[in-house]
Amino acid sequence: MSADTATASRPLEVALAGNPNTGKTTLFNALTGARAHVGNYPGITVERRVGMHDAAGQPWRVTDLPGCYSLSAHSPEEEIAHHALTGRTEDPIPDVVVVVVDAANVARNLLLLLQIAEIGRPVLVALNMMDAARKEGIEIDVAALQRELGCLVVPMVAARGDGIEALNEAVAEVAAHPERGRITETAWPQPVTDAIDKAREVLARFSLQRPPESNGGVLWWLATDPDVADAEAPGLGTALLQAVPRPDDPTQDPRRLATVARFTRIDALLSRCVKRHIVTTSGRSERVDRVLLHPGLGAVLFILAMTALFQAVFAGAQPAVDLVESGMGALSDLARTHLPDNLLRDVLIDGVLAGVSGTLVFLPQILMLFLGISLLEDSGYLARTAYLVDQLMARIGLPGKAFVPLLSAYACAVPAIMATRTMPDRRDRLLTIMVAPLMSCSARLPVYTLVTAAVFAHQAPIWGIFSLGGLVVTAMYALGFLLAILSAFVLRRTAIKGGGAPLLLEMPPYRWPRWRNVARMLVDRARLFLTQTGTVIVALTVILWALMTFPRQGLDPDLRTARETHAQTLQEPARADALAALEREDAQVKLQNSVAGRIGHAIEPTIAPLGFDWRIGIGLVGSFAAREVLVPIMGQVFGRGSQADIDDRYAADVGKTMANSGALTPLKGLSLMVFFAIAMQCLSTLATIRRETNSWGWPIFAVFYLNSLAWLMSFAVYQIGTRLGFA
Amino acid sequence: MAFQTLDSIPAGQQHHVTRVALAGVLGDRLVELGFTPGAPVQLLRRAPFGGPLQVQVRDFVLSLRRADAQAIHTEQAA
Repeated sequence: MSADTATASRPLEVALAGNPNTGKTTLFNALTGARAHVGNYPGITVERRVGMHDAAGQPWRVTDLPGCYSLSAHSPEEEIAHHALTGRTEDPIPDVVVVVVDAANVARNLLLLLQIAEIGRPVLVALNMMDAARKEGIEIDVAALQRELGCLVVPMVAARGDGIEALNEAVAEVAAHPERGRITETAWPQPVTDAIDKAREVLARFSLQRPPESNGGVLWWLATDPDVADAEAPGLGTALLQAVPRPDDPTQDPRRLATVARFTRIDALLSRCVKRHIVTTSGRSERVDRVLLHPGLGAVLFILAMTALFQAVFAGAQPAVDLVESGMGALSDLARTHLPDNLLRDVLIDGVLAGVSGTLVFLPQILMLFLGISLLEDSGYLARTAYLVDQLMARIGLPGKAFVPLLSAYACAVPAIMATRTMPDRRDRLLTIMVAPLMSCSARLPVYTLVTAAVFAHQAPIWGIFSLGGLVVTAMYALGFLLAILSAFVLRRTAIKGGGAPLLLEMPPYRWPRWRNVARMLVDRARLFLTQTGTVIVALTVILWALMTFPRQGLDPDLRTARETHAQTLQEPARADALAALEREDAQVKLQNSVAGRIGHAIEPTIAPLGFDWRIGIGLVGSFAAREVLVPIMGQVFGRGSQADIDDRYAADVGKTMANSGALTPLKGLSLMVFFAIAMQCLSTLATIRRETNSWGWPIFAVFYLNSLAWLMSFAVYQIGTRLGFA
Repeated sequence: MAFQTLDSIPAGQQHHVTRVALAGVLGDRLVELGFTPGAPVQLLRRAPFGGPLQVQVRDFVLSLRRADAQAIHTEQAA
């Protein structure tokens, strides 16, 4: 036991900082093993990862700072990195900052190192991926680099665990002697020192709670976005901009001169300890790019890769989805037979279990998509896909990075919205989240089947070959896509102004994916989805169940008793049929009398112009749980009974019953399909948007704009169709 | 000597950055990524149909839209 118990009882605060693609996450995983907590920094969707590392002597509490190229806050990641280093987040100020540096890309990585050292944190360098650098022909004299920088440099290959011991010792040394973690200040040119002096005066006037400790700290506030400075102290950003205005010639801006001075220093010191530190062409990756980014072959390979990804999410996950559904179905049946028949049982089965099932059912698709994405990302190909489709996506007003999320949205919006995390710009990301639900997902298919089987199946094929139903379904896909483009265009100019971030996207060297990183990412994604999104899904499912259950008025009891008595007099199988019919009718009446049923009635005047009667109104309320739920709800409303397994036959049967009762005609059916192609009828998507945007405002906005758009389009279809004489 | 812009130089030709003639945050960002005067830069390839450029500056490979690359002035390496 250490004599100094106060120090021993407190873990050492170690922050990992570094550029993206430096193997920072690999090092974090190697240090913390499975004991890491992944969450978000409050208020924004930048991931916060914290874990424990058992170093001899004193354990570390390791914070994995968001990857960033620079510390000046031009992005949420950089802002968080700075704020975490200066004690502005919930985490304590780190005792030691380990700056992970990619040995094959030292110059750019050292910029961040200098900036962190400048704000006064003790630093050391984890010089990672030494093996890859050596393969690229880069020889680094570690001892010389250490001498030149003045801080400790630990050569590592984090993926193999090489260098962890040396890192343990180096961190302990810097913790014990913080002066070992200092780097001498860069020799600033005159305009920069003048600017620092002016900025210091301004900062003094604002008396910040945590004033900058050094020249570098002052410089940080000067170079940061005025918005970030204003968030710290109202008016600070503007005052700094007034004191040190941006000159007409941007190259003479002291903010930039400071960056240039740092690079000048870095280039000079690297010339003394790195051989061939400037490579003309990154050999191996460039050779791969010649194929994968080839205008013809590259495009073909891209389409193949994306098709494989889509198939994996759309079809590959299906067996697991079926398994979840049948497993949860069996569990519900078990609970139904073994628990006493009361309200508690119903809320448990139809509310909670249904919600849990409705959460779990997304897991296979989420895991499939993120398996694909993490393989693409880890290998370096994801950045290339953005490069390949950027121009195409720009035409529809979205960046190249929106491609993979929107493609996945054709399978399901839930994993697609989660996948927008790969998008760096907040506004681009929000825009992609808002239009993703317009991509026709697989949950719409049962609704399309219900309608087409009932009203389009018997129509003559167009030109003898195209079935009308098939054409209508294709049209729904096209409609969703066109409206997504239109919505992106409008939203970009209204609710989500600005954005359209510049495409400054690193194309990292190709690497074999690290299975440990992939597995870790999948576990993190699954856990976050189940705990944070899942709870919202369960809560919303219970609420919806209550709406569709209460006040529980079935058939008139006297009537019911009379019919039961009558049924008992019948012979089998007529008796069973009569009893089943009685149950179906009772369920039908109960639903019609429920709050949801009454809402269905109440909204009839608003949906009548779309060709929907109150019975479909109940369906619109109930299918808020998930689009495909429209089918069993309609089954119940139209007295065909509800069925958990929504197959094509059942959907067709329900649809035909609706058609026979006049609720569905070709025109009404088309209107219903258009409504479902557009409307936000999916509480799981809402829960995911809530989680990913960290607000209730955006999911509510999504419901409002999508359902208004759905109403307008259905209205147009039904009214114009009626005027043209269709029915 | 007349400067060239990064979007117009031949692919594969070695150049040096002379100037980032872009004001504001995007210009700051380019400098932070290593586009400092004298830094070696090379256009690796252009995406088809007017798409972005693949560029190497120092040891760093990145993609950049043509309009942004136009603000980066270069000079052919000796």
